[in-house]
Amino acid sequence: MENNKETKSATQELEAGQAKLQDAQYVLRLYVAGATPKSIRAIENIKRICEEHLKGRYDLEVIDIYQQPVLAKGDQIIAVPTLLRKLPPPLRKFIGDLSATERILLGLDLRPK
Amino acid sequence: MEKENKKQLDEELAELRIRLQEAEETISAIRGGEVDGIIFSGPQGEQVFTKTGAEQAYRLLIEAMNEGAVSLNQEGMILYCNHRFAEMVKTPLERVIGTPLRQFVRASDQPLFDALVKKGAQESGKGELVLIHNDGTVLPVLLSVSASQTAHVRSIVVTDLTAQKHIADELKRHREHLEELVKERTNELETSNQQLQKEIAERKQAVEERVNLQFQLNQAQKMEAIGTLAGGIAHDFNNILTAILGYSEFALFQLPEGSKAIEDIEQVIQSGKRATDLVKQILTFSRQGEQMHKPLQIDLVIKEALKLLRSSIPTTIDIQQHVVDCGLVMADPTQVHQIIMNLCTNAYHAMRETGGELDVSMEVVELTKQDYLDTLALQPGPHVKLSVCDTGCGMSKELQERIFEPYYTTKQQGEGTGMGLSVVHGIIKSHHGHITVYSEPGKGTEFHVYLPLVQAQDEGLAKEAGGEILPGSGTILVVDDEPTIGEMLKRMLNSLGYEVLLCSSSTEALEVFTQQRAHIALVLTDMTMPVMNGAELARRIKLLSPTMPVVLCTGFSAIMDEKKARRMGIDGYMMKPVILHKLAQTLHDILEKKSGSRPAG
Repeated sequence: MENNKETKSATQELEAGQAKLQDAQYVLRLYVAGATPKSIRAIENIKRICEEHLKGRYDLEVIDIYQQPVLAKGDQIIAVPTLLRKLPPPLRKFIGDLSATERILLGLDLRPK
Repeated sequence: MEKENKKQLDEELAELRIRLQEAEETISAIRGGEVDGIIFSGPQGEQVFTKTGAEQAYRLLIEAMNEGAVSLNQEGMILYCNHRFAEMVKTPLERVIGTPLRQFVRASDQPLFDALVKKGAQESGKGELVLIHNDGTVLPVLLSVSASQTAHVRSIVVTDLTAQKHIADELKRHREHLEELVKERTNELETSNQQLQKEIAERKQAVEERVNLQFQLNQAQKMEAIGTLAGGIAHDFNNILTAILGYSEFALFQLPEGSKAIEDIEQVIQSGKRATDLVKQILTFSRQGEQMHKPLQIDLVIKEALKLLRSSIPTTIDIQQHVVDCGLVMADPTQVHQIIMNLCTNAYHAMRETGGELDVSMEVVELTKQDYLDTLALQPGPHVKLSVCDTGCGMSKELQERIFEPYYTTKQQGEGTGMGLSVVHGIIKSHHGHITVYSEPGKGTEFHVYLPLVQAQDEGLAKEAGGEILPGSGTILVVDDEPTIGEMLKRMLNSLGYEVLLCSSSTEALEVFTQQRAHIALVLTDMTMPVMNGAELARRIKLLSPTMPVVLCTGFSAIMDEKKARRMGIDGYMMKPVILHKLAQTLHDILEKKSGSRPAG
């Protein structure tokens, strides 16, 4: 019963958390290496995901590591393309060509786990 | 408590799992070739390594751009350059890479190049320099060296400045051309301006000259009119006076001795004589008086007059004289005497109250055409300039314009007749001279008299006039309506050896001439005669016989002078009273000339 209660409580918490995320403001930063094919694809994918799932509540920065390598150091980026979820917490990084939309949605807590 | 610890541990575990997942994903992504670039952080900063082919888009951009792009290593060797740069140095691409960039830089620009490249290790820099083509031609360029993120590579963009330089050169050329045009135009304008200023000055001068001439003309015309009027009146008055004096003298003789009327008649005669003197003065002013012009050294006359003046003028007036021999003037000594007396008396009157200095001087001046234009009176040539200057009260401009008019006087009644300067004016005019006045109220007055000097050819005549009397021969036709004069001329001519045909009218003379012209050598005629005057007679004789010499004799005639007579073709012109010397000389010269020009045989 008690366990049941705990589960119920955890579920409620998650639901409440998700409900909260429904309204959360996303701050995303995408690191690319100029106009390489993967970087181009990454920019296109992330832009599409944002427009489809976070329309009106996201702030996307695209950073070319050639132009601003210092920022990459601050964010401890070791490979590009990398998407960084700065807000809402927790901080998350996604590396690769970012064409696996479902994985990104999951990582951005935009899909129930 | 334990529960809380467990929860915290669970959360940390979840976080670690996520980190592990991220790390695994990263490694997997790198292994799976999902990334294009890897960033290394080290003591030299961040370095980015990208996968082969990842830079293709940049390479396309760089190859397409209009600027040259070059990468150098630390030694300045070209590691990479785009096609455009190879074109710029006109060298095949494969021969550019691997060579030092410096070899393409003009020697004089190499220090600048070295500095730019060296500086490029820390910061960006730009500089203009000249590249040398393989074929020796040159190319002006702008070198933009980027600050290097990796110490061993320099990235350089080379911009061709040929077009820019060409435009700059064109602009410079245009500017220089414009400046040249502006300069030329400025010069033209300056010249025009100077020309204009000159024209303005000339016009101004012309206007001033015209005003002056107009003034002189007005003055001359005024004096002429006054002279004619006064002369006319004086002649008539003279006739009346002749009758008054004549009949008074008759009456005086007829009166018995002791008659009371004798004194009265004597008063009439005395007044009549005074009136006669006055008429003489008026006639002198109007140039109708008797004149005896002869070559005269006027300084002698002036000295004599000044001696006389010194004795009559008080010593409060200092007379300074610079009277020197200036040559001969054709003049009447009495009239020259009168000029100096009248001018000096006026000067004395102007200084009577205060005393002062009277300066009389003479000099020879050479007059020009301009002087004639200024005065409308003086002919160019040498003149005696006689100056009479005083330090008296002076006079206003208005006064100066009227002083030569008869009866115009500033003196109190009884002090002067108002004829003094009018007489001087008349005398000077009759001597073909001119008088000017310069005066300022309170500063004194200067009178300058100009009289023409006898010139060399006249001097010869003058000498001869006093020398040998030249005899002659032949028949002279003498015409004069005055029987006494005619008779006198006949006697004179006879004494010279001429035969004379005497006529008392021009009509008679014309008749005699028509009948006897073959015997007549010369015609000597009076000017003023009734019916047909001497000039007309001369004209008709010349019609009948163009080579017949005619000599015109005249007392005073307003319509004739020597120049006019010469223009009419009259061969000789003589002023009355006729002097034997002059008559002999004139006839001799004319007849000599006639016989000289007569065709041989």
